[in-house]
Amino acid sequence: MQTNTITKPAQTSLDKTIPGEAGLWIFIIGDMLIFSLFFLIFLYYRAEDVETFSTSQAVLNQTHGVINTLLMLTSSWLVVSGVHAARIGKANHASIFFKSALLCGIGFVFIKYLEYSEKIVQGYTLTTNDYFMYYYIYTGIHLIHVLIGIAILYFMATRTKTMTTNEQLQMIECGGIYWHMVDLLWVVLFPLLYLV
Amino acid sequence: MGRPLSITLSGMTLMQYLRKKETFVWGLLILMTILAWVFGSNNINSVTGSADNIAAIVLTLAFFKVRLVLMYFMEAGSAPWALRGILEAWLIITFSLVIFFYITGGEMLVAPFVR
Repeated sequence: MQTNTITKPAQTSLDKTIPGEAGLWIFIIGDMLIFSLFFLIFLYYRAEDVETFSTSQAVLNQTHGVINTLLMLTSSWLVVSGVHAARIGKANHASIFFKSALLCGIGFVFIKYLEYSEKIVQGYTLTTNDYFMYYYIYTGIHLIHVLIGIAILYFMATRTKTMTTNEQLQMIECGGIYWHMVDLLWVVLFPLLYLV
Repeated sequence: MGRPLSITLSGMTLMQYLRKKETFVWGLLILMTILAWVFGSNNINSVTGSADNIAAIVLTLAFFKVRLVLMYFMEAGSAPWALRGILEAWLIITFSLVIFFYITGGEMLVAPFVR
């Protein structure tokens, strides 16, 4: 059964294969549900003190948030290209794409460092008020997801040349899907915490 | 004659990776991010509470972006209907709840469970 043929997941409706694998999606959906709860909890407590939340939110550096969003979205495009390259056997290209995505991830972490340090120096910490508690905890948990994703991207970037069977390509896909989830979560966190 | 973007990676050019629908999706995502930023920026909204309408627009943009990532990057768009269904359901339920909780604080839904 082990062949070295590289196939794309079927694109026709007659023969759809699941992207990644089912077990991964259980994790992904679970993580998304947890963050959904985070969003709603934030909004529930925000409604009890809109003024504090709004004035605190105004303190945030939206530019940092926008740059991070652009980094996340671009890194996702790079991961998509990497997965496509891996599927057609261009492992060298895939490696370059995954490494580039990894750099975007590192950029995200760096901006977060700038952002957190700027706020802390200004005197806004986790215990300043409820808004900042949610801000640090939610972006912090997301940041941990990013760090894990960076490790996964590194694994993908360095191993893709030897991962050519369908099963191994599936692992690459799984890594990609995880990264897209991290991107997806930020896409909601950013407007929720910074904009509205 | 130099061609634009003739960066070559072992025979394939960068253009070949760029000429995909996912690149168009990426462009949309970037555009919507900038739009949301402009709408939601502190210059437009008052500090004591952004207009609910603007917030609704920004949040709608956000969830539309989420859907693009789900369907085109995570390839849920071409996945079996069961998976796609679950994700679409999560999307619409979460989006509705977020808008509802943003505007009302969710008191109505949470009250029966509190104390």
